[in-house]
Amino acid sequence: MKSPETIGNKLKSIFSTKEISLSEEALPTQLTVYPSTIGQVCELVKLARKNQITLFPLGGGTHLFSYGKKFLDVSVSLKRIPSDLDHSPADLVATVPAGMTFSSVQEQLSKNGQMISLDPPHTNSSTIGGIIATNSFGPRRYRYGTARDCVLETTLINSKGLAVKSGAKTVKNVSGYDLNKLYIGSLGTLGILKDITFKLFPIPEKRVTLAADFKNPDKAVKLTADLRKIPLDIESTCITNGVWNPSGGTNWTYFISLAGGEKAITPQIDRLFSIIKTSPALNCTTLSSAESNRFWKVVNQTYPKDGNNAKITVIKKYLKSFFNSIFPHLTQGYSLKIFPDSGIVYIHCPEDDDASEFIKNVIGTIRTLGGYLEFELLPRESTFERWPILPSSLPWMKKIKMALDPEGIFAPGTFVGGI
Amino acid sequence: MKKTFSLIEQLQQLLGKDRVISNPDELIVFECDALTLHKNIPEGVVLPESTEEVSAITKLCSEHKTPFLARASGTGLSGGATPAKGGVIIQLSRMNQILEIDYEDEIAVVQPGVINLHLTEAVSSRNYHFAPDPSSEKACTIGGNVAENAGGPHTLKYGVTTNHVLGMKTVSPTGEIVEIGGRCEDSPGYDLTGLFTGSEGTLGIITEVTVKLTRNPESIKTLLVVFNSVEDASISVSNIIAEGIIPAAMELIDQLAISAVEQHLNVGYPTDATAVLLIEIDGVATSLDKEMKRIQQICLSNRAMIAQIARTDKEREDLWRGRKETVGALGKITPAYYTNDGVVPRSKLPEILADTIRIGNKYGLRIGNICHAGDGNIHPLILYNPDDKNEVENAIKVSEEIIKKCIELGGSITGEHGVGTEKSEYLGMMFSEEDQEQMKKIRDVFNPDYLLNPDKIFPTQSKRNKINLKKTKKLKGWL
Repeated sequence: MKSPETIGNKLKSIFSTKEISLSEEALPTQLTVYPSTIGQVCELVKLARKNQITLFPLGGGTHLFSYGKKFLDVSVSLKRIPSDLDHSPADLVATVPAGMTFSSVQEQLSKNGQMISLDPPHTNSSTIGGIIATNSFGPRRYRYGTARDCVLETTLINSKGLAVKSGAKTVKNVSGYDLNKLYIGSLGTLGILKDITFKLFPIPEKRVTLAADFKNPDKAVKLTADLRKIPLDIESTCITNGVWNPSGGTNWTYFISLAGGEKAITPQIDRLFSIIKTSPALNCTTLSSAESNRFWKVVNQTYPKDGNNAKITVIKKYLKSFFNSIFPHLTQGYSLKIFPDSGIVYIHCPEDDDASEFIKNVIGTIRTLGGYLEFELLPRESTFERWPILPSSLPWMKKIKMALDPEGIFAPGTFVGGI
Repeated sequence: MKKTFSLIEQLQQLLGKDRVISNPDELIVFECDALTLHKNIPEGVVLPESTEEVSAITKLCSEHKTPFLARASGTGLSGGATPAKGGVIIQLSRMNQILEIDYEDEIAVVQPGVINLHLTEAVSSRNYHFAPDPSSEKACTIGGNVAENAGGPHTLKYGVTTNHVLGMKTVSPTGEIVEIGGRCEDSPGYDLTGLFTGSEGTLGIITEVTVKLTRNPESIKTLLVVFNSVEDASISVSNIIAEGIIPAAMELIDQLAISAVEQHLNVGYPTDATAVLLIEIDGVATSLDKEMKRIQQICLSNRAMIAQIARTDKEREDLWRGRKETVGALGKITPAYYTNDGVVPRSKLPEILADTIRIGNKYGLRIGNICHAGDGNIHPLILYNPDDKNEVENAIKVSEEIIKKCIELGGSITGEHGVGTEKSEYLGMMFSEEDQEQMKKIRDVFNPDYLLNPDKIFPTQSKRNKINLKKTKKLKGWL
């Protein structure tokens, strides 16, 4: 790794001093650049390639792993690049510059009653590029899926410093390889996203959220199977406790949001109530609009800043077995957020020996049931690998990285299996 | 004296003579897929029954440096399963088992040769279906659907094949068996499942697929809307989408196609109509009435003559039978047809349909238009006589002009049929050389010797000069 002075001197051929700064502590780089044009980004990549400088594409910095050390050279933020949304309301399509914040994009789209279907955490500061690079999602995944279901086209600055396009601005397209899929969730290891085109959706006329408390998570998960059988316009679901539970206490709260036309939704509330009534729920409440906003904010926008934070994916039908296995070991201070229809669970636990033992058990359970775990945060002294369970196709992924970034300039060592 | 066995002999040793076709008369069947304009006879066709056999076949072909490709029903319309450079066709139709259906997980694991509709039929009693529904669903296979990222009428609401695939087992050109994705909704690393879907059989041979099953909607309403002009019908489609209404399906059929359907199927389309829209909405019963009423209003405000909701399941089935068999019906009124597949932004539908008619008239060829109108995905069927060289050339010119027009309007060269051999020379209309280079690097990772399904997707050197490639120097404008 080169000294910040050496790199800084090289960067001055492209950037003014106002565009270069020392990186914040949480970043794995020494310096951060804030280009004013895409041309500067392209030149930066060429410079990096020529001088073996490593780059870390930076979004809003809201979803950073706890790297704990500086092992890369320069973070690249596109936030300052002047950018306009290219929105075609009649086509329900918009092309969005990567550096725009999610909330500003949604605000503009909402003027035409449209939205990007994703609802990731930290909408005020997350950038569109960051959301796509981390494949970030929220409870609306239930209805709309994830980024892979709504991204139509991307433009990426590749390892040669050239803008390359994949996909098209149409809702259907099968021309060429769908490289968008590779870039989504790649954590910036294949290039720097310049802009992304989304398939949009109309904002539902009405949203209603119901909250039901349960004594333990496996009983709540069981309700998911019942919900599938009944025709309901469900938009979001999430089961939470601990820091993610706005009600506090020790219960597990199942949040379910219905969305659609007002006339259609109202009778569905009763239908949903009656299903919950037959489950082992302790209670059920229809939230007011203000309560609903406040509750979803806690559920979706809370992001612990220390300790262990892990995303777990298991085969859906084994969620109940998963909870049966880990429930006896859960202690106070541990928090869970469950997306029951996707088999995804977030666990946060503090930094102590008991937590390490608990996590070992969790990893063992996942290995038995089939699934994966990714740490989004780890204590500095932790010995866990960020991805303790690796996919069998990892060798092919490494070859892809080698093919698209042969010099290893884009965030090397920050992805699955050391990619 | 030592005798070196030929590839065909070695394949016969591997599979037995009854599972290797090498008789030239029998090979003719495999000279093309449903794109009959491009033909080439393979040297042999093999019929494996397991992933391991596919692996052994690809190893042998690679050792012999012989091109090979996977094929199933051969219903593809872009030459994806045409042996462009000869070689061996790995015919997957015997790998046609549904290996597992798991309702709790809402998934099925299938072999590539399973017919699309057979999966829906297998799960329909439990109120599920497989959402991608190409018009060829009775014949096309799920392996082919994945390779081409197939669509269909209901992809307007439910998405295309890639939105319904969780994982797959594939065989690399050198015989390595690779499992990608899986049964979990998210798996770490690059999304190879998304990459392989739609890669047209150029990255590996799919031998197992894990797909999502979709719950049937509680209620379905199907509307037949009759228009006096294609323009009014297409404006209605654009207006419906612009209003934020996303039906489950929204199909447009023009007069020529209507008359062919009625002549041969008699499903109840009005033969005096210039165009009809088939619009379907589905979901929770209480949600549908208001939406359907608004759709009817929009159509009537655009001079629709009739906007009639199907009253019975039989009526609905007939309307869909007509739509799904339109291509076959048109085939009965012409010696040959060329199915085009272009896409435009949905608001440009009126413009592209007007241009399609104009282009057909210019070359004196009849065109039957059917469209997945809600997606902006057009399928003009260009009718021609294959024995008339002039008509063949004109059919190709008509198709090319339509595709160029789609690109001018901000669209794509293919919405769901794939690039194949048909449109490989058009790829440069959409993608710069550097864009293509990025894709080729991925191809070279999985298919470095380019023996697996060669001469597909990317322009071949010989024809390259004909196409106006976008130049990467466009970037200069940004610097």
